[in-house]
Amino acid sequence: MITFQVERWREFAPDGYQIFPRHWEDLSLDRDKISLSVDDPKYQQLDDLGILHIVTARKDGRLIGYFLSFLMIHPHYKDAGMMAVADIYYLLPEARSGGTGVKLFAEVEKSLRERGVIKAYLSCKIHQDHTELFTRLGWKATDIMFTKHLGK
Amino acid sequence: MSEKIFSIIERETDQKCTTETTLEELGVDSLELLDLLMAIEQETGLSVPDSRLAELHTVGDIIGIAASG
Repeated sequence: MITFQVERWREFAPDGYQIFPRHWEDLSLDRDKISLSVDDPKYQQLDDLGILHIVTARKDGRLIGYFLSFLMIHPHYKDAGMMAVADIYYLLPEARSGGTGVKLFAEVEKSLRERGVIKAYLSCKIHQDHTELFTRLGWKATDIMFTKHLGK
Repeated sequence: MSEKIFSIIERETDQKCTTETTLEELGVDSLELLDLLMAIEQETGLSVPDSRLAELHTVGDIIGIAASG
């Protein structure tokens, strides 16, 4: 059975590290310039500060997907309430049947609301466009994100 | 009403199912699951709240949650 739950970094990370390389190879666009190097102490620190929010999908206990967000009061809108910005999200390709993606997103929204989040932001890759799914789930496309590599 | 939901699911997925049939066995992806739930809502007036989507594992769950919603 697939379950969805909020987890802390310490319990998520050992399993997450098994999937991160696959996630990176599947989605990263600058692999030749920027290598995968997860800053474990930084994530732990963010979790300790209550900034990190992790929702996982597990099948019979085995990690098959995750959605990590950063929670913050936006300095421009200090009275508006908590906002969430997606860090990373991924679902193993072999685990995508049965509507698992929709359920993961539903659990993310539910758990963010429970933490007092009033607005959430996420993006998706142009080459793996999820606009239709996100729109159907009630998300609104509001920005186009541009990136430019400035390093060597 | 559960028979009506069964018939909608079988029609939309082109598969025979029981209450024990899992959504993975139905082979629906995320968009297809949303289509299925929308068809159920349009034809029966019963809906699954977004907050309970993660609880859907089987056809029986769809019927039970829709009926209780």
